[in-house]
Amino acid sequence: MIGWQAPAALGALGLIALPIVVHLLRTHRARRIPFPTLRFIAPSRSSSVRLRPPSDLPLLLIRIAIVAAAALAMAQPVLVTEARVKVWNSRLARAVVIDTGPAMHIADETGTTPIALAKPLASSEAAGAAQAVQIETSSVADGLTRAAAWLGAAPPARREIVVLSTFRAGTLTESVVAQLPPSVGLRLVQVGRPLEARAIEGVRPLTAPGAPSATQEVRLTGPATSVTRKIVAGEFRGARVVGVDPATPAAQRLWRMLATAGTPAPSGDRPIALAFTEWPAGERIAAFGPETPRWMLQVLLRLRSDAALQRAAASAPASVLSASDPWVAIALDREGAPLARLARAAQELVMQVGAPIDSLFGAAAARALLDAGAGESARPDQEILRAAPATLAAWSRPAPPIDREAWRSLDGSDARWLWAIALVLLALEQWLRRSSMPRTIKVRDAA
Amino acid sequence: MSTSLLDPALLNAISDLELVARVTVDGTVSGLHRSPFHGYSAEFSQYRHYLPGDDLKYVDWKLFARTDRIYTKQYRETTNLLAQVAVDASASMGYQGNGPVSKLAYARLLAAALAHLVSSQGDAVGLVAFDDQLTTYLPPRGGRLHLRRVLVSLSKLHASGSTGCGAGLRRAIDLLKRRGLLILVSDLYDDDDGLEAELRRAIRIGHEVALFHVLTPDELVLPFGGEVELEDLETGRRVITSAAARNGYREAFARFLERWRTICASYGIDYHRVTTDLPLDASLRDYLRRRTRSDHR
Repeated sequence: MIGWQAPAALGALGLIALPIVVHLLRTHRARRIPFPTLRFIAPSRSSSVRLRPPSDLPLLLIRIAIVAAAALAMAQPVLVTEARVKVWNSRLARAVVIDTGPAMHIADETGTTPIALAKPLASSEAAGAAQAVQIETSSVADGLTRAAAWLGAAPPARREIVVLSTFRAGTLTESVVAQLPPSVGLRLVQVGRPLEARAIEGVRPLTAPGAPSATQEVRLTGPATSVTRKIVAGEFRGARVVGVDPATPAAQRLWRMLATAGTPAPSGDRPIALAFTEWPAGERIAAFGPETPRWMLQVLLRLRSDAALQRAAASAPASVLSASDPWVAIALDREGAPLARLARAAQELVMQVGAPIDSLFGAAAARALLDAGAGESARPDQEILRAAPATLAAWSRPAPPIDREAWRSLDGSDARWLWAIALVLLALEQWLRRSSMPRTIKVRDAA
Repeated sequence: MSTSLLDPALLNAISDLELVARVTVDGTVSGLHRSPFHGYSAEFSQYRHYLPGDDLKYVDWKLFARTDRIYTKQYRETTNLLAQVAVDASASMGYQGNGPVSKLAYARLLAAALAHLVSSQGDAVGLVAFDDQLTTYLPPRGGRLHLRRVLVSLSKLHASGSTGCGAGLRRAIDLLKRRGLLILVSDLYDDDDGLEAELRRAIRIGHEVALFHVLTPDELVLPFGGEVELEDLETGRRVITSAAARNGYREAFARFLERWRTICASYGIDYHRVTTDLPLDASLRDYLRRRTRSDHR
């Protein structure tokens, strides 16, 4: 079988017509011989260009062969023989994907991290292949994509991806494995010992005077995850409230209700203020701009997409606020007036609510602001649950023999042989042309 | 090709034309019994058929009465023979083809031998060379010094220009002060009618004319195979011809040769067709034998 790496160049075979046309319509130059007189010679046709059958057939055939060899060489042919396929099948191209995610850096009881075990293992895996590459990535799915791309461009050989990871739950999914080309083998090597249990700090809930305060501890124990809430007494620590005395019964009720519901407390690096009245004229507020901290914009987006807040706004009475700069409305009443709006005051994020503190919307707005301010609470990187060995075995597959299109990734082609043939033919053509040149007739003037 | 000592190629390789002429003549004349050349004198020599233009005072009326044919009496002059050698040096004479020497080289050797022969008999010999005009003229004179001048002039001839035999011959005839021997060496590629008229004029004046028609073997057969482009050496005109036209050429050339043979026969011109592959002594011996025989008659 012959494959062509640049099949478009086969169109150059049309140039074969060139020598044929040249031979058919070649300029026929008769031997020129000086002669004493032409008075006894009947002239034949004086035209020097004639349509005639190719007179020099061997020369024509050689020229056609030269053009054909050059055109075929430009098409970059690859001769796929049984012997070559055997050699290619005996080689292995291997891409070693090393998971560098957080789970790979969690030390076990002996103090050894999985990444420390993975590195030498990756080197030995790479050394065992004819061609290999090591890809370090915090996303195994991304590493698999990069490995498949590298193997796609690798010279013809059996292809295999080796993944070194703890394979905690969620590291790899069946859909990601299914996207790998069938010509690539997959071996999933689980490194490090599984953890028996791991305790991580949960979300810090809001506390309020008079309300039961609590902390959370999440205990991960193998396949089961248990959450232990420790109830502790504490003081109120929440957002700054503007325009309302925290000691008022309405304020006390609001904070107790939020604390009891487990609403997260705002962190110290994300200061927020909540105003249920007009914003004090002495405290300057500013619009959101390029210099706005990223977390403020994230809070703004979360509030706008908070379905509970929007539902509460729909049933709230008319707002006492009106649209004005630099406030950005995040919830509107039925008349379109802002019920809740955001702005910046120095490093503080300010929410102004157009409803009383003891109203349903007031509570919903306060809850939404604290939720949004706490940010993402998911901690998947701390997961210790691992994929089952049976699952990994099901996803693994040996490197299959090379497929029929493997020659396409061959670096180089057999064009050099055709170029050599073309050069030999060219030399032969030169020799033939010179040897067929007319003998020079010397006319000497002996006088 | 001839292997004779007088092979044209061998002689042409000898730069000393005087030596060549002497060798040629010595090797040729040694077999003849008497001198082939003689002049005009008051002593009766022979009868010859009357030709238009002959002086009527030499007509033998008694013989006419007896035979009813007009003969002119020829007398042997007391003066020596005047010989004028006219050599065509046009470009066409430079053609060699597959022959051993070019036509001009052959003509030069032939003219040198004839000049040496005439001069060695104590007669006067001159030289006229021409292409489309007269290029060399040496009046007929005797003596070794003059012969050397003739030979030097011959050695300097080179083929160029177009053939103008008619004009050149007219000048040669005009420059020959009294009756003499005119030896024309040419390939005759010229206006046939004009050349014939000049030869006829020379005969009428009373000159004896010998014509050496020099050709190469190639010109007789046109040996080129396949398609060739022939270029006229004199005009530069080119004609593409093929082997198929070879028969036509041979027929046309044969007619050309026959015409000149007929013309010369009709005017009493001594016509010799020589090809450059012939040994020079053979050409010369043939001419001298025929001339000697005509003297006997």
